[in-house]
Amino acid sequence: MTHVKALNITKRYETVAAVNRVNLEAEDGKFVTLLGPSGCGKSTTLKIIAGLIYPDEGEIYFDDRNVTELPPDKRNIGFVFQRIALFPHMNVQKNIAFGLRMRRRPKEEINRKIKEVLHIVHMDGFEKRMPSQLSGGQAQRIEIARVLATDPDILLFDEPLSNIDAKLRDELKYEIRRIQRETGKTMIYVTHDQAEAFAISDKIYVMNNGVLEQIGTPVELYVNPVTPFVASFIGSNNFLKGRVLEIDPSMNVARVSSDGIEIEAPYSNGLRVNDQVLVCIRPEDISIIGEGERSRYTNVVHGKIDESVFAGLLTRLNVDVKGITLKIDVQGSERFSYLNVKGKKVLLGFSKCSLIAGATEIPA
Amino acid sequence: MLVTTSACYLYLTICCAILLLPFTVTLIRSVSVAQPGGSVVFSLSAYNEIVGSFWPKINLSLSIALITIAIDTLIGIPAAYALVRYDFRGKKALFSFLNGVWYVPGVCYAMALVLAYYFVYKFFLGFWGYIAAYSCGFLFLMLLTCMVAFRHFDPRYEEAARCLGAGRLRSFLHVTLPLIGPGVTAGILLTFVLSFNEFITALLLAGPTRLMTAPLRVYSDIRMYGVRETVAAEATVLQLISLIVVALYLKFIGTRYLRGVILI
Repeated sequence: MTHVKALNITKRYETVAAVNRVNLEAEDGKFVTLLGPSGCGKSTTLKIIAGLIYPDEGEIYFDDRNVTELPPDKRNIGFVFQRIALFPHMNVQKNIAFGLRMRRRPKEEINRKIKEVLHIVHMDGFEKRMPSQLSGGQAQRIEIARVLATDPDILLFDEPLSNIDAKLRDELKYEIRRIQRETGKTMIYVTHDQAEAFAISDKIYVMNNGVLEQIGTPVELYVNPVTPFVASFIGSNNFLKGRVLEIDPSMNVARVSSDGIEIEAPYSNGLRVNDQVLVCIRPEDISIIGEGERSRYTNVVHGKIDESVFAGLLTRLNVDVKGITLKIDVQGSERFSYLNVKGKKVLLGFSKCSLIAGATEIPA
Repeated sequence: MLVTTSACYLYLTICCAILLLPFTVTLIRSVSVAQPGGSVVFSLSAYNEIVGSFWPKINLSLSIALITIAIDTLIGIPAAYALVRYDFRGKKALFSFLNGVWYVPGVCYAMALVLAYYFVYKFFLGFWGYIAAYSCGFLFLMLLTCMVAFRHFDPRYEEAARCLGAGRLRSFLHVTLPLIGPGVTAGILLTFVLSFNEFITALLLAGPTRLMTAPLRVYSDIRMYGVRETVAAEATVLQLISLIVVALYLKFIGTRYLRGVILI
């Protein structure tokens, strides 16, 4: 178990900073995920931690060891690649033995380890197969086994499931989480898939354009996004531009006006009257309510349904509220009663919403 | 249908016959021995006659070819790796320079070598003179085929090896080399065929040293004796060696690694 710390790492390609002053910390035995769209610098960050890329600035620590200058083979890490990197000229057994042979371990230990790690990834008996005889999911399991065999201090995953079909991907992500719990190893995982990140992470770093946007548990990121990017990248959101009218510090509640709609929202930072804010309301947090239920919601507005789309688990409605379109997700059995409701007038109620201070642009 | 197929086979047979003609003609000449009465009979006596005198020349040519291959492999693989994997100033110029020899007419290259050997590197005459000339002259063959092999080699295998604890050298030996190996064989094949059969440079370089390679021996025998059966036998053996090497290569390795040759 190792505590990983990346301090202020920066990597420039020509003049563009692919990674810009990123600070990252993965505590002993934790599962940390770097989440962001493609090209945001998350893979570069991971490769810097692995030693495959050297940073222009910044330092990497494994526990108290400064490893910034060490090559990857001196770091005792395990790296699982996005595209299968099993050596095509070696069978499964030789692939798994490779790391141990490089460490000059005795033969009996190597053979015992091979059996042990194949068992961990549920691939017992595959020793003699060649990589070309494995399916994508099997190959990725073997790759994880190969990495586990060397008993690395840290496991790094670079979008290991992105080339695997959806069903297997779902299974494998819980598998990776199970292996993490069983081995207790520190793992850093890179993905662009929010569902994957949420399912397996203790802590998530959201990255965009080479910088860190927000750090938090899945719930924190979902309930309290602090930047417009995080609010739009994670889940889906309605955005309203507004101005703070009134603040009640005792209740930590602010009243915001947005294009004639007044909204009461909780806040947690030093907000002041007249500040520009972005109000974020999740489509699933808005309910269609009856007149009698007004008192149960902090905010109630009138609207007219413009469109309804049935999407299986939910029905997505576009509701016009004073010229602004709000997305609403209707779940449960109720979703079937909103299939042909164009033009219908409804009353909307919502209590949960979040404010992003200082943001003036609605994210694309 | 049958007519078309037969026509295709006929066409292919004619093509092959034309391609094999030089070999067939020398082969037939080498086994046709004229009798005193004017009749011609089949005989392998010509081969018997040349065993003693021609074999040392073959041996010399083989040694030169193999040492050339060894030197070019040792220089070509790392050079190709650097040219494919790294960006540095003057990379394109260096690449053009290394391939430049190919664009120099063989006879000019040979003359330049003769001048250089005589007036600059006097110790480079004879056997090592050939080696130096061929290693330089055919380096681009190895370079191009290895570059193609490296371009088709995904660096992630190397990265995986490094992350599994292999240093630079060991990841190269255990992972990179086995994976690009077949591509390198294309360079080895070409270097062998060309350096084993090379003639123009040998003609100019051998003059003063009297060290004769196999092709040179065939040439000088033709000049001395005309195309008699022993000379034809020598030419047949020479061709047969190249044919066998190429056939073995195609049988065991195939054509897929020869794609680098397209560049040449």
